[in-house]
Amino acid sequence: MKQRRALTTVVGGVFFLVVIITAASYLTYSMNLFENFSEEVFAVDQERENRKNESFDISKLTIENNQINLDIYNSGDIPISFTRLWVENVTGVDEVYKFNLNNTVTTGNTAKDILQGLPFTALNTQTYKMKLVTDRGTTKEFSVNASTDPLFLQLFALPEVVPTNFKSTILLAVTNNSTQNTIYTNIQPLLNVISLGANADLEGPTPEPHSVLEKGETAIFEWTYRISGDDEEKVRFDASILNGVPGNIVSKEVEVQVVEFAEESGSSLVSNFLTTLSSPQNVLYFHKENFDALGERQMWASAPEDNVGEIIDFNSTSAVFYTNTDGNVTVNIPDGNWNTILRYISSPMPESLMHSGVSSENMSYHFENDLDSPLDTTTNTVMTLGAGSNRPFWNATGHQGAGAYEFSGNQFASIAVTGDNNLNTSPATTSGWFYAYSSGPASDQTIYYAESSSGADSYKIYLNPTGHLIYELDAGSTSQIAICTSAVDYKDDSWHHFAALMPGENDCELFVDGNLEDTDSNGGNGSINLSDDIFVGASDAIGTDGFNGMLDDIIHWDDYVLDESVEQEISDLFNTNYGEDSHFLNFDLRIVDEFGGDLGLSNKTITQTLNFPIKYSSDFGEYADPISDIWGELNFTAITTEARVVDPGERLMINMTYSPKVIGNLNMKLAIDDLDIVSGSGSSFLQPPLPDVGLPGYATYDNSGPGTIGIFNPGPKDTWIKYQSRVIFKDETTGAPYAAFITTANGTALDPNQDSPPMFVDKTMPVEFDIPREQPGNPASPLIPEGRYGMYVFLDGFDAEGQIFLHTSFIGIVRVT
Amino acid sequence: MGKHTKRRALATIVSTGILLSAVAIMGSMLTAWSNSIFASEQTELNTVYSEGVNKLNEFLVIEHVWFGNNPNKFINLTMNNVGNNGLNVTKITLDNSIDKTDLLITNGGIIRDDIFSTEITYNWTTTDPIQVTITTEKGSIYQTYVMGP
Repeated sequence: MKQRRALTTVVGGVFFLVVIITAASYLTYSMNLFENFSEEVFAVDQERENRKNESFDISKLTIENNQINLDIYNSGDIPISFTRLWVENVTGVDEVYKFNLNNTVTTGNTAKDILQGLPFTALNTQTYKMKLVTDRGTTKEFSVNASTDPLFLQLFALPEVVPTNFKSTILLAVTNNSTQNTIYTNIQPLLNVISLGANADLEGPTPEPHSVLEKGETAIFEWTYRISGDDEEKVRFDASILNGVPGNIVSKEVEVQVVEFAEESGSSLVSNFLTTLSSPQNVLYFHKENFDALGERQMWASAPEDNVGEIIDFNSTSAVFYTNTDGNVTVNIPDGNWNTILRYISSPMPESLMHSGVSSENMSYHFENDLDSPLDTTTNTVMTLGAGSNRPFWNATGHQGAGAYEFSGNQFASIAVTGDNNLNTSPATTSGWFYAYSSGPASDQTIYYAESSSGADSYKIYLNPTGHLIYELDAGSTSQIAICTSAVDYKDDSWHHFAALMPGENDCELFVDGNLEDTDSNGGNGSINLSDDIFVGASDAIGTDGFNGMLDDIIHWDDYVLDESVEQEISDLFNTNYGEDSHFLNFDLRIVDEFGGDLGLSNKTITQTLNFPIKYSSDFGEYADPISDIWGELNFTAITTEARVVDPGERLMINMTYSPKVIGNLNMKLAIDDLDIVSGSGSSFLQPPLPDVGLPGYATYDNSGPGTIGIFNPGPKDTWIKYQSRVIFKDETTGAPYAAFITTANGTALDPNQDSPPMFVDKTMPVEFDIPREQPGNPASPLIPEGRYGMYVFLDGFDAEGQIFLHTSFIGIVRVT
Repeated sequence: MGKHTKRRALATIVSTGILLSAVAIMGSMLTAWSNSIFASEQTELNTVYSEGVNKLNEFLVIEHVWFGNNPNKFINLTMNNVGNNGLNVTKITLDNSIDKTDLLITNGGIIRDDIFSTEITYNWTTTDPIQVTITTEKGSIYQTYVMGP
């Protein structure tokens, strides 16, 4: 019985084993299948992540010779291949073209003229909708030559009221508020001038087309007209977009107005050389004064009073400005654009490289603008571009979204040798960015070349025929030539940073993209002393061994070698952005209570924007005060879709704080309240939509006695004002005017036989005026009551050449107490 | 006594045979049943896996939509297969919230990295947005909204 049981147990066990093995096999198979599925999920997830990281911007679009010049900047994290372009002729009917493309652009770089050679005739007179498609299916649609949606147009006339023969600046702001996320390109403004009695003569250039207008961006077009006519005659400006949507037009009138109490001179000459405080009531200048501004600075509709401004260093402080408070006034500000115009300057170097004396840089070229003689921000040296076919081509978005020069084999720039670049004493360093075309020649391509007049000494940075970067020092001793060679072929259509270090005349160290590539140390004798011109992009003035690619940010230290081991100066320089994203600024713009406290209401907030990018703007003189008007201009626009109300007792506040980077941070400084800044939009200011009444300013006048204002003469000639120059106060509610004669100028009483003392150029003169009355000079006439007034100054005078002038300026909203 | 011993031996052999046969038959049935179950589950798993992976790798982009008038109003749709496998578009639905038009597609096969265009006669307007829905054979759905110019 025991034997039978054992036998059946064995047989049953075998079967059980078979079942177990089958189950285990199934389980293993299932696990493998799940593993494969997981891998597939990861792979697909990665592809989708790549799609999300794909991003590109149109950096330029123009039409020349019926060809479209389109540059695309890869702003994403991965390379992009463009496979197709759709073109729809909106002007015609049912005309749609499809073109296959084959262009790849690597991260952070720009593909230029990608539509060149397409069998398509583009006309400036026709409207096209285009769509670019990448191989991952990402699309970007843009409109060429016209708007296919009504755009948000705003037209400004500054000022809207002028004396005859004075200029008015017409500004057309075009905001892309497309509901279909369309990008508009090659936007061309149209301005029709219609006389309503007065005449307008264009002075200065007509604005160029705007290349690319992304969603939410605003393009500003500017014209300057000289307005002439009789009192109350007008001229109307109608502005629109070429090929725009019918009816998408805005208008603005400019009126000629003679001040009622002004003495007619009979000869009205242009007098831009004498100004007082004035600005439209929606242009709130940032002022250095902090009286009654909660310990910060004032912001109000009054232009800078002189050329003694203030420099705010964001490295040590924030920039906070308040309008004044008024317990009796409600200001309604309609929805629209809040433009912040800042005039700023960038630090030339990251903090670790801000040296002084011999350790500071001696040459620094960033090619931000296309100039025959590009700016050296140290002002030490002079670079001159080759002429004609030897002139390199300036690429506006060549490197980090900002300018660079492109060389195509025989272009060059030369730098005169001075004590700041002749290498007569070691050590020295030369750095820069280069972008070598993979299609470049299999021969030497010069980046930086210099030699002595005998040719015995030389200093060269170049790519050899195989694309390796060479740094070569020859101090006149053949056996001790120092040569550093990169390990990598850099003819790869990408930007790279080089730092060529010369610790001694026969020793070299070569860093590329922050990494040490090679060293060569020979010690020994001899010295390099350059005497001929230094060449960039070729080795001589006929383009020998020319570079094929782009160069930017060429910086040279003639007596200093960068330190990587302690200060990490080379890494800092490599990580410094001298392009579109040099700085980041946070904007907090809102309505606060009279003490600056947050009201905690969404309808009191205009914007809270973090890390707004700001492009690099060169400076001169080591980041000190500017020696001329060379400040960079930043336009930041916030859009409100609903009106904002500044209730009685409230203030408008803007708080701008710097957002420093961890590596390669460049500091920046803000210039405010300076009449010397005359280029672009002038000094720094905030421009909200036009309010129904002026925001409370800081000007007050006590009507119990005479008042004083300052008058600044920016030149070019010394001037005098005459008796019967006057101030006018216009009641903001009723429009009733009150006026008073200017009684003294710098202490000298004015009368029919006594003019003012000379107002010298660049000087401010205090002038005193009597208590304003309904009829100036009539003691029986009623005095000005307390209230809010628009204040004007009418000046009657002559200059050093005897030319007379009449000039009326709006000072701003003034509280009479 | 000897006769009784012989009978007992015979019975042992017979009962042993019966016992072994019963075990063998039950074991065979159990094995066959388990094989059948596992094979069926494996087939099912394979099918689910293939469908899942294929659907996962399917990715269609509605690349371009344009509107025409000549001779009648139409919509031209171009789709781009940017996935890893070929796919088959089987249905296009146009819905302007008033009318819904289903269009069955019989030649909608698109190989990888290729495009498929089709022109649909449709009375579009410049005011009503149209929801475009693309359905593939594997059941993936892709949608976009367009409006006449």
